[in-house]
Amino acid sequence: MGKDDEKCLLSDCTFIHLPGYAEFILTNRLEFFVRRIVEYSFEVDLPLLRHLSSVSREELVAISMSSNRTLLEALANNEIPRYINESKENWLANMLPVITREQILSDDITLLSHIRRTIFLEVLADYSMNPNEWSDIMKELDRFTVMLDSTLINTYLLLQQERLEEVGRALEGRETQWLEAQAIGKIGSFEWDLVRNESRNSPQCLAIFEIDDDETYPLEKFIQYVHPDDRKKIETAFVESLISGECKCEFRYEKNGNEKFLLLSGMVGYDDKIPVRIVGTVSDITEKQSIIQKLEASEELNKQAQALTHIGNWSLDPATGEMEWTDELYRIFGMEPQSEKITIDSVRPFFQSDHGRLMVTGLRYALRSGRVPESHFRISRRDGGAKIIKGKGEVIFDKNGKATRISGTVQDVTNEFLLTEHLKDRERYLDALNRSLAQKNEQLTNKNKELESFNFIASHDLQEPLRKIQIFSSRILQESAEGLGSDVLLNFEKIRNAANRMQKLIDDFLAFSQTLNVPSILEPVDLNAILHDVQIDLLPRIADKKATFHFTNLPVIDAIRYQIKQLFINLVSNSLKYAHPEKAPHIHISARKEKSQDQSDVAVITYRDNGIGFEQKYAEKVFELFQRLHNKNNYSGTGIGLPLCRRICENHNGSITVIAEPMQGCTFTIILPVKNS
Amino acid sequence: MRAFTPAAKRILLVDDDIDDRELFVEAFSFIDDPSIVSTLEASDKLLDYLQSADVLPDYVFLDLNMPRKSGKECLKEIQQHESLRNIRVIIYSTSINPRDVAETYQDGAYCFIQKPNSFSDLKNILQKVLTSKARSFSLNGGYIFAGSQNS
Repeated sequence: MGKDDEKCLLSDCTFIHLPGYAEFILTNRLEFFVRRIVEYSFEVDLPLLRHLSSVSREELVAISMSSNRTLLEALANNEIPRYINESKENWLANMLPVITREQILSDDITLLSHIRRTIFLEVLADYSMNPNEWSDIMKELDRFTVMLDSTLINTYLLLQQERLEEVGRALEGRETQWLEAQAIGKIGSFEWDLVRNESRNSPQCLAIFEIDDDETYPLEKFIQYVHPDDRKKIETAFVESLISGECKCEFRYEKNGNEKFLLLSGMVGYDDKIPVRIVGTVSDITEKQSIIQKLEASEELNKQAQALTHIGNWSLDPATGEMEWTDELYRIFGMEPQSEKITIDSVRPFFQSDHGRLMVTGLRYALRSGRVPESHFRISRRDGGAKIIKGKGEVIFDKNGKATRISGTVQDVTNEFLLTEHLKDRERYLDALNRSLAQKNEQLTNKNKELESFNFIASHDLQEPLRKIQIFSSRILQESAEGLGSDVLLNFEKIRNAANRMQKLIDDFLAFSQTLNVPSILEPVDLNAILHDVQIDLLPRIADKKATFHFTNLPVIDAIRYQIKQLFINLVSNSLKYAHPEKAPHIHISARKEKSQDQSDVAVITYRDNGIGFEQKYAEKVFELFQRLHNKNNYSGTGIGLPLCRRICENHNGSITVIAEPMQGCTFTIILPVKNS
Repeated sequence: MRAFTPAAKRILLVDDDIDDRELFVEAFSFIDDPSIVSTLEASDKLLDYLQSADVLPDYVFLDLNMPRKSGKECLKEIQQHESLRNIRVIIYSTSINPRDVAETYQDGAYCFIQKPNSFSDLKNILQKVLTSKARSFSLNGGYIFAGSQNS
């Protein structure tokens, strides 16, 4: 229906026959007319009535009376356009009596026209008996109905349009929200038409795939930017999805140089069992992935750390007694990691003797105190071995103070424990050793005291009678020699020699034992001067043997003067005593400075003679106390001279060694520190 | 206090050994110097002897190793008495432990003599000690030990 027609109908709205009939009904048949309309409305089950179920029939009649009176008055007064207009306005303005405008359906409009027309016809016989007039009224009535209905239908359509627009606006809002949500969640959506092989992608989907302005981009094309290692995976996922109906795949994707992790999930749509499209989402999970990787790395690290330190973690649900263990804890107990479910009851038999009871008591105590006290337990492993473990933990309470979880660590301290035990053993052993050393020390001190008194005996009590023998025999020889026979004199001479020899033994022995005991002073000692003094002291014997010396530029060293002199007296005495039978003794002494191992200066003194020497195998023996290589009848010696030399050298933090050959002389190497502290 | 200086030197030997006392006295008969020699066996009687003496000795020879009271103790006692300080105390010992030598010099000994092995040495030493004006004896003959050697 065009707008022009409507205008025409509305403009041509003067009626000739209808107003009179309306006037008749108003005056004579109004109540009947209204009651019949209401009755008939129920008969034909007018949809609108359903909204008025709470209104009584009489009330309905009253409402209808009012509205029909308005209609009839409008007809009677030939004011149809105004009436139609007012009806429309009332409806649009939602000013209808009793009902709201949305409750009116298109059925209501047409059905109500039919009802009204039917009742008009019923009453017509009362108004006129003239068939021609009926016909005229009928025509005008139809025209009025058409006018009213068309207006009402248009109004209805207008309202429907409005509502559609409203719904559209709501949908638009929803879509905006959806797209925003996609952007925020980094989730894009796509619909892939498998038949036409093109994809409709949401803007976020394009952003994730880094595709510009191509909404129909075929999804399979993106495969070229998928990491080569993941292409097979995603292709397989797509193929399998065509059968299973679902696909889910994580893969690496790199288009403009930055690699990211994407998660694609989709549902396959079918048309008569043939897959025709995949609808789904794609999300950027790079951050999530990196967090997962970090977590995995740290978990792996934690596992390694646990394995290294033999520390396992556990967590216990106090309500059920069920426990969660880390892999290492299983290993500590000699089990395959995660091979079985652990409960407090299943773990208890692992503990030896009463340690299981102690463990349970500790946990029970923890529920009150909040802390599992650190304790050591002895356990038997599943695979048979025994371990010492150290456990501790803490309790997690909820806001009501109820313990929800106990968690803690267990460390395998078997090795440490054994080490500690071992150390304790060592300590006990060392204690015993120390005690024994203390005893030995005491014994040694006593021995030293004995030795000191022995020294005293040697130096005093032995010498006392010896000196008497010497002094009285010398008096006889000096003062009474004339009155004695030569045999007696010879015997006296032998007594004196033996006494002298004993005197010398005692003197040497005393000198040796006192070398360490005497408090002594280190001073710069010029070895050249020492050798001069030695030559003077030994002058008679040197002259007797016609011995010669050669030494130059000997160093000055920090030493105990008289000991160094004693050292050279002993060496020179030896050289004179063990002189070669056919050669006059020649003594050659030289020295050089060297660095010792600790970089301090040492004097290396070489003392060489041309005497009878000895076999090199005795090179150490000659430094041992009372060891003599030669018969004392041939060579007078006490076996103390060279040991004393060694003692003096060691006393100065030095050393003396000898190289010798029979009949070729000896070469002594004496090493003495230049500076001594 | 000595009222006058006698011409002859007064000498006292404290030694428990009878042989040494006899040899000592005998040796002085060969010494060409006027001297009056006395001996004392018991070292623990020395202080009484000195304090009751009319005339104090010029020299006291002390053996070191004696019963009841050692020569070192005797030396210290003498040094503790102001009136006895002028006596020259000479240690006359068989042993020549350097520690003993050092200690006795420190305690005020005049000199330290080892008992000689021959009678002629004994005469020579005593002659030297008595005739020397100072303590700078020659050490060439042995037996006499200077305090400076070990201190």
